[in-house]
Amino acid sequence: MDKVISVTSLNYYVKSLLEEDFNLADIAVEGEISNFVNHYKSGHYYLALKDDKSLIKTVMFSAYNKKLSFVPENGMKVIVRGRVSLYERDGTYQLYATDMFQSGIGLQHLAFEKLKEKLFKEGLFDENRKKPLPPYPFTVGVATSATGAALQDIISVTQRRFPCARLVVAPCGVQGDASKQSIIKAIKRLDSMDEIEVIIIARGGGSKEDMWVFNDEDIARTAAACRKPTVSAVGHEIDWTILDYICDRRAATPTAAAEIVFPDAKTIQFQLLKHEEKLTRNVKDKASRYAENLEYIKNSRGFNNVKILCQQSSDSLLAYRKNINNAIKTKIDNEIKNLGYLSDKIENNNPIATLKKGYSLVFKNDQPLTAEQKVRKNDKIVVRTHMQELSCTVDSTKTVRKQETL
Amino acid sequence: MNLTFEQAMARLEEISDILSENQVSIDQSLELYAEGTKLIKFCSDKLKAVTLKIEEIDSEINEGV
Repeated sequence: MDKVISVTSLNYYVKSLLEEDFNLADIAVEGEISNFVNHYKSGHYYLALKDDKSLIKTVMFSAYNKKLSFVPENGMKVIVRGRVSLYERDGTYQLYATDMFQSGIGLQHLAFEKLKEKLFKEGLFDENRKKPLPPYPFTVGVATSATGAALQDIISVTQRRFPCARLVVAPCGVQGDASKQSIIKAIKRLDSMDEIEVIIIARGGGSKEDMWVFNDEDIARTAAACRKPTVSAVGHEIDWTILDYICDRRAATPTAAAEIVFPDAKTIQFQLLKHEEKLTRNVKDKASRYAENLEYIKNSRGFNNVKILCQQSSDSLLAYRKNINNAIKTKIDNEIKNLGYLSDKIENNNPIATLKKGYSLVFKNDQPLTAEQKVRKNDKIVVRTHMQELSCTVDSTKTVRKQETL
Repeated sequence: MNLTFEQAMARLEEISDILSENQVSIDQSLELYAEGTKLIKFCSDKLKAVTLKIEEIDSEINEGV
């Protein structure tokens, strides 16, 4: 005792001791409510929890008491869940409540909440592990009582919506702890059948206590382990069972379950009809569009131009032929004319023709005498007239002046 | 046909989408028509049954009741 500490330090120390204790971190305490105060400003509940020998101060902050489904009152027997700590200002240790149940059903509810929390923490309620339901299940398993109203409801909805389906019923008990094993077996059996596409776990209406078996942990784990999608239909509209949280889908009633699971055959038939109409319409439209196009092409300028072009080509071909013929004819005519001219010219230049006009030709040594050639005295020459050939001897020669030439 | 009902319905949707796009040739259109009507018949046949089949699994599992 060689150290003196302050009150604050002491209270702080004791508080930390209390808060370090694992056992006090989450605890359920049963007792009777006394000195209940609902603080008008803050909404926090202040009360004392007592039994015949002892009492503990308890506070339940508004964030927690808002979730309660009942208003506590003095004399009420309750189970309080919470942690133990110390209020430093007053040096009083107290219970900080997080939840409160009325005794009797309280215990069961506490167990329910604890299991729910445990499975939630394991991730068994996670959205991402929920399997989608097949859109067109032709074979569906139902785990329910063979004689119950639930089965009748499911049958009548299925008959109405999807009568081509096959229901495989695995009968099981649906009430009381005795039915637990049969429910587990029914679920397992249905899950093992390959042709089954969805499993519905159903129970008709009843009290909270009636459906309590569906809050069982083993049933929950069996459903969670299913390979096939599961649908629960055991709860009430308001109250959820553990199974409701576990299953891939939750239906409020067996009727609702069948409506969720089965599509409406009439809707599908209508869709099929629409598909058929669309297919037929498409082919017809296509065909008539092609026919129209064909007609259009047949009547189009482009197509008919071919005819015109052919006509034009044929016309110009004829014209070319005519031109060529004319050209050849002209050429031939010209040639003929030319030929006549040449023959005239030849005729005119023929020396014999000159003789007809009275001229003569002179030959010396059998060669016609050229203009430059000179003839001398005593040369022998031959003179050719039109009618005669005269052999002559030159007596004399005389040069003529240029002017006198022709 | 080696299809499930679901696959057949999905394929029909697909065909319907293709036709809506209007980019198909007449040949393709005819092919789709042939395929589509086959699928429709397959699905309609499956929906034909009008009476629900109900089977009860043997009562071996009823022990616990």
